[in-house]
Amino acid sequence: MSAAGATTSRSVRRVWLPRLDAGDRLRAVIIAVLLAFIVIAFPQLLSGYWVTVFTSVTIYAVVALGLGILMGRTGLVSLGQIALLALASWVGARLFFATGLPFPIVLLGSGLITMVLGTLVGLPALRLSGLYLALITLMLAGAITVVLTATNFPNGGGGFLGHVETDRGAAAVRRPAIAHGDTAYLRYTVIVAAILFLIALIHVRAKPGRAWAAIRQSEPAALAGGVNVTLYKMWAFALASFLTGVAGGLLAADSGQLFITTFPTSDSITLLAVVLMGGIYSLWGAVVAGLLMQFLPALLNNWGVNADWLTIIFGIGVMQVLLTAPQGLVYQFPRDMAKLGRRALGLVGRVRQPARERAG
Amino acid sequence: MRKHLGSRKTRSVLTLLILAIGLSIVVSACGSSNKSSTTSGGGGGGGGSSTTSQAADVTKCGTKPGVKATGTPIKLGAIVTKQPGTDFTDGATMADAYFHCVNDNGGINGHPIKYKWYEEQTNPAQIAGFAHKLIQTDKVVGIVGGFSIIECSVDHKYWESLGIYELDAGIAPECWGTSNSAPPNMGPRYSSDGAVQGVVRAGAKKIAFDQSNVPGTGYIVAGPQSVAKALNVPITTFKDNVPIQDANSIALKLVQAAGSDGGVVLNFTPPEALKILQAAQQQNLQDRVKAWACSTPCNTDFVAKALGTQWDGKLLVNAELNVTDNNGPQTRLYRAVFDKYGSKVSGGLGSFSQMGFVMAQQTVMALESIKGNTYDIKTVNTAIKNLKGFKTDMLCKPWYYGQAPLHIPNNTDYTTTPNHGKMVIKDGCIPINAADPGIAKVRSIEQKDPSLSQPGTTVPGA
Repeated sequence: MSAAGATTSRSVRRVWLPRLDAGDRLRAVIIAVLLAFIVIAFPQLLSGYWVTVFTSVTIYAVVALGLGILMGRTGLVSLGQIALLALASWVGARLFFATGLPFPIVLLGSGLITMVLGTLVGLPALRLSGLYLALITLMLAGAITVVLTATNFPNGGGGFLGHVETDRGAAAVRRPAIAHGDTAYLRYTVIVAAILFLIALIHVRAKPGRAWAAIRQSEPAALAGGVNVTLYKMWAFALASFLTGVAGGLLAADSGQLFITTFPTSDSITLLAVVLMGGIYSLWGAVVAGLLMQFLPALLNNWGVNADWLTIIFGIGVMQVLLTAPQGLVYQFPRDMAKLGRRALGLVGRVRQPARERAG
Repeated sequence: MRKHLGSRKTRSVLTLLILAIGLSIVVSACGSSNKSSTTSGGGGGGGGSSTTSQAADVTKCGTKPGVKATGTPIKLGAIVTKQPGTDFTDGATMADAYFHCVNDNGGINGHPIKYKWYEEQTNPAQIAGFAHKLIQTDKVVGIVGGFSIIECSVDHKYWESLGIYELDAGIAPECWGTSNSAPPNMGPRYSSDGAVQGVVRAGAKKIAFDQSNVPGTGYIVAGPQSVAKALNVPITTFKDNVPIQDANSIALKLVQAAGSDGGVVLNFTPPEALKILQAAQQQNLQDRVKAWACSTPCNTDFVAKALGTQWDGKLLVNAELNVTDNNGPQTRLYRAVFDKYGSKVSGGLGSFSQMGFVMAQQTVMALESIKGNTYDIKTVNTAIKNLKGFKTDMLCKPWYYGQAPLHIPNNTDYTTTPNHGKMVIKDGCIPINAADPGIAKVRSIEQKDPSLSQPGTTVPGA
């Protein structure tokens, strides 16, 4: 390798693969063990119902990850992520029906096409921010919903739209040959999600992550510091859209059939709420958001409690998080548990001391 | 807006936005938790309470009056839609009420029925999960009394793979078009067929058909189009987004399309249909066409009361079930069971709870036909599949299941009209036109086996 080539290679490694310290390496090992448990053992412990629930949790964790990158990393507010997920599911389903390509290739295609569409959606972000950008994305979400209501989702029909109206049962979106059953598909989804989280982590820990942080803190300062604000804003939208696109492909194959009623515009607001509650500054926050959005309703349904209560709980939860822990439950919960533990230990100590004094 | 905002400013805006979202979620949740949503009140042919109920004997529910069933429970389940704006739980809660009545009066050969239903929010993955849970975790042996927007589409293959014959009041086309589903109702397509027939009977020479722009419009409109063609009446079709924003222009558009010798047919939920009808009234359009008609959802006193007497006799509604204040024995028992056991039926007396009651009676009839003491998926679903000749005063003709590639056993309907704030019967039972291919297939099935729709065992009534 030439000297110039070696220098470029070192530069690329420095930008994309930051050096890991001992703590990072320990965390990586713990995460790998956790992932192995979730892929191998965890699905065996679940009934059929919870398998489908955790598949949804995994998919929505990826969608939350996309929103977390936009909002937590770059400071761009989007209220259109669920509509983008609907669009991604449409694209994924159309590709599955129209082509015989291997499942991972279709997922990649779904991600890339959604990335292009999502980046176009993000164009206003170059000029707008805050409330105005939120409003624009919300209106766009409404527009996508109206269009998809009129066109319906592909179900094996012909033409560009691929939709056929039938009373005999429409065709289902295919799953990968190695993951046809629900349990195998959960494992497959977790592995794909892990890869997507890794891609996001690499971005956050590398140059784009630093650029996004600078933009979030202050756009003028970032500009003065030599950050290409336009490029990195669009990059954030592209990455978030790619993640949502792959999640859409996974969702299409998970349910087999898609309906616009699955993607109400109001869910984009709920997603924002759970992402805030989970923690927008942490990738783990996306996992918590996925759990809040899909696991909690399933749990309430399982207990016979109306899941409508969750909207109230989420409303209170968002206020609680904003007032007491802006970094979200992912930071607050361990911190509070540790505090509680220390207090409990202190209490035990105070009880034991007089006893020892009396004994002495 | 300026492109560059200071970070503190941005954070303030974000905080305000987030607080606003938080508050709006709390407010919207308070609104959505209200059980008396507009949809849940729709579809009823009677009032909200059983004021017309005569003294009726609820012990007729079971074979051993007053004896509580204490044997091993027979587990049954259902999946119903409940989400803001759409509450279909009345079918399941009324079925549950009837099962309680049966359990208090001997049960099924001494076995009580244990009924469990899950409320879904039109999420296919969630619905598929509930289906698995009912079978694998709850160990139910039959799926009865469900009422869901998309459940038939999502689960029909699963039920077929397990040999389960579902008894469900459906919305999705697969509820009528597949082998393992048979609803007590006929759904939007065939009900719209009946409404088209209604305006043609009233003398309409041209039809303007309008429906809500929701999934499945192409499937639904094919029915009215084939019936209108068979009756030699031109039809113009429309679909409008809901909630309707400009009812005045829609009403005007429909009247112009129908012409003075034409008829307007609507297929909307009650509140949306009401918007168009009231807009027509405000513009004095109700007399500009020969007739107005609606599919089943308009068959509710809520619509009749809101319209006032100007529409009495002018609006024709295709009703899939009889009015709830009729004096037949099954309807009397329905009202009595509602009074004693129906505290959870939030929508009151109406088509939805009538459907739940009919499905519960069908289930009990099937269970009572089982010889021996084994109530598993095989015996229970064979009994459900073998149901035929189920005669109730709530339906025009005997209902049946049977082995067939499709099931539309409710294919002969009433026509109702508003009368001083109530829906009353205008025309008795009229068969849906067999020009609709689905109806033609069903008539052929009935001709091949006439015993399916011949009155069979007496259904309990008060």
